[in-house]
Amino acid sequence: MRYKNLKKLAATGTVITVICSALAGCGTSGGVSSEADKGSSEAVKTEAAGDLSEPKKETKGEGTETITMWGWNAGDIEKIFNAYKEETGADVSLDYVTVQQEESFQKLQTTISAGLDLPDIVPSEVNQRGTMLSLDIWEDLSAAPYNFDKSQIFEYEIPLCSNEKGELCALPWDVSTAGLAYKRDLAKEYLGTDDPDEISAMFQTWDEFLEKGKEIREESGGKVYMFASLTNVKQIMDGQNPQPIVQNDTLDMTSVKETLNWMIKFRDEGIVDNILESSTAYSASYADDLHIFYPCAGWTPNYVIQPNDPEGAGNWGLTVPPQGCFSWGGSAFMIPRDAKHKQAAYDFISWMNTEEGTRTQREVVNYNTSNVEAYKDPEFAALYDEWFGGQNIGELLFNKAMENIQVRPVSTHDATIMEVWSMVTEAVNSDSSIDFEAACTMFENEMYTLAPELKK
Amino acid sequence: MAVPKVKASGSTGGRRKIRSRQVWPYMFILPFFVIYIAFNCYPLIYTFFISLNEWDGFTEPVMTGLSNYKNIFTEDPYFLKSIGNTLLFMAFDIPIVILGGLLLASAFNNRKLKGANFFRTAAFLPYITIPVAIGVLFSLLFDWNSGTINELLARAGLISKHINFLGTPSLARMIVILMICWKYIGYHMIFFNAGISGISMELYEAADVDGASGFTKFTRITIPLLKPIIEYLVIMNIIWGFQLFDEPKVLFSSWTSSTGASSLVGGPLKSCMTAIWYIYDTSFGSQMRYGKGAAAAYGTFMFILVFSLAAFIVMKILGRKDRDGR
Repeated sequence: MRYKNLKKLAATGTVITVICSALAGCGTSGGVSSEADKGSSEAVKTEAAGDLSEPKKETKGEGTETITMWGWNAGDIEKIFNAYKEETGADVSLDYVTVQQEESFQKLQTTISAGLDLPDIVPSEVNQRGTMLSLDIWEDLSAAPYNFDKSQIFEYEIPLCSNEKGELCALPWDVSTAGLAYKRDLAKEYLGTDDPDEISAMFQTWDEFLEKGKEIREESGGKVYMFASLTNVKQIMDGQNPQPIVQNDTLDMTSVKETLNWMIKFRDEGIVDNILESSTAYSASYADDLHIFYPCAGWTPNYVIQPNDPEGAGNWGLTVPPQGCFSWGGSAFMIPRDAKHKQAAYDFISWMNTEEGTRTQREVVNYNTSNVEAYKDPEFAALYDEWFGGQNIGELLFNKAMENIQVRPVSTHDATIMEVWSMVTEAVNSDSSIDFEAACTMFENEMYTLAPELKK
Repeated sequence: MAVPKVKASGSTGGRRKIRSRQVWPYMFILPFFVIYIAFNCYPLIYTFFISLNEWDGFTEPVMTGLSNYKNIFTEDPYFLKSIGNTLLFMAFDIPIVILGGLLLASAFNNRKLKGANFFRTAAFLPYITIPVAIGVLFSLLFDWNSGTINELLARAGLISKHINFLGTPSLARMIVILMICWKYIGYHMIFFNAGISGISMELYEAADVDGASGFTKFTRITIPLLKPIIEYLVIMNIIWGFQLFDEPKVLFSSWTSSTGASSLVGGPLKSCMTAIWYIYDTSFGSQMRYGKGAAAAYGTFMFILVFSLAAFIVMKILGRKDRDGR
């Protein structure tokens, strides 16, 4: 009898254990949790985001408060965070969760809709930022208790970090001003000079640029192009145009038409190669002797030019494009209203934008972050890169560019606009029968299909 | 399984024994049903609820009735286009992978073939290759400017200008079909291989005695005896076909981009957008419309149901005709 009771007890225990373990993943985290609980919570978050890779979770330091941060560059953040602790003596540690840049918005979306905890710091890349900022979930960092001083950062960054109500809900990380990089050997051969000022003076307007491109095309027997990809043209011209594409839920095609007009002219005149920007052929084009110009932001020498043109040290120059510099890419950080360690998170990201933080980040990870004061020091504002020989590219990126840079404020529809741009650019690139009118119609139709709330 | 009889006029202890014997099997299958209800039934019902709402995942859902269904079937041209693309891929893929798998399995089971195991493994390898690698591989092979295929064709003098395989809608579709066939033929071959191994050699020997040719043996013995496998694979291919997502998605992704270039959603002019890609993009892409995505999921589910049932019924009718003919 006792044996039978034992069997029943064991069987009941087994059933309960199986049910409990199966349902363990259903709960949402709440209240104080152990490290193990946090681990399982991380796993749930990652799965919800559709991220198939294992989350890389790193906890640095042994501070009393742990800031949770998402991001895609663990190595650099680790160095910056260690420097931050060392310089400020902050008693914090960092729980860094690697999230793919492309998937950060989806992760945010699924985390919120699943009712899971948001991290203390959420990164955003400029193309997704407007859509992210349109969510009413972020702290206004220029308001109390933070009172971030906007004059600390470059003025052009403010519309890129503010929501549509004008609240500064993100703090910028890197300076995103961009110019026109060129290969010096090709410039000497086809432009007669490799001096950035002379090249800039040569191209005051895009018309002049087009005419020169036609000459080079003829001179090289159709082998040498001004740009490798039509996307480059779109990137620069759209970046130069501050006119909003969607305003008050109404599509304004003015800036799109200007950009498309140039893209189609450049394509038809054959001064742009037909390489897709997302292809390996595009990466390889940096090292060839067929394409002269590329858009170049502060992050481009380190992350794009050097890896793709390893033999090209000293062969690159940077100049102001026709009609001025523009903004390209750039990351920023936001703090969710429901985050658990908002003040500690703010202390860290605002330190990144202090003069001290900006200098430290240049030293430890070679990043150019956004504190204005730091760049008033000519020595700090001077930036020399081996690939750009003796040229001071900082002079262009941190001084000249700031004189007249204009940016389009980020908006709710940015992700849709980007998707439509990709489709139309690819279509225009692949099919030369698509003329200006057809391209504009395609853009308009796509926008209305993907964003039916737009007023016609 | 026979349930042991217990005397009806038994004591209280006997009734308890009946109860406990009846309860325990249910207790043991309970975990499965709890998981099934939690992770299958509940999401199904909840998805339907979401499909009746306008919801971006962040704000509160707003009930809009059937407007999402109306939108995908009458206003948004890409839902039906994605279904059309999926059907087109299936129309080419299914016959190729089934016939190809069958032919490969027959060839590898030929006793005259040496190194059959090596060939079987080689044919199966694409199936275990991760989709991302396949996507990168095909995007490198068919690149417009530097793709190997273009280089080969140009060197052979077959083309004077490189072909934009991945930028031309019809050719991009062809590449997706090629990718799927290349990946799944080996997988189908394994099924047929198992089936062929189970066919008695005596049947073939008897056919040899009767002077049957190789083709006759294949069509009169091999294919009829593999019919259950073919039926299973056709039904499953219809279901898998509607779930097609990874291969076209990775082909037009920006994995190889060094500048953070964006993916081309749906391929050139959305010619390779499949039903699941549409659902994914609508829910988690630029649009963030959970409600519309859920409606598209139900719409796709209806198509899967209709096509699977149709295939099932056609096979039943053909099977019946076969039996009657015999």
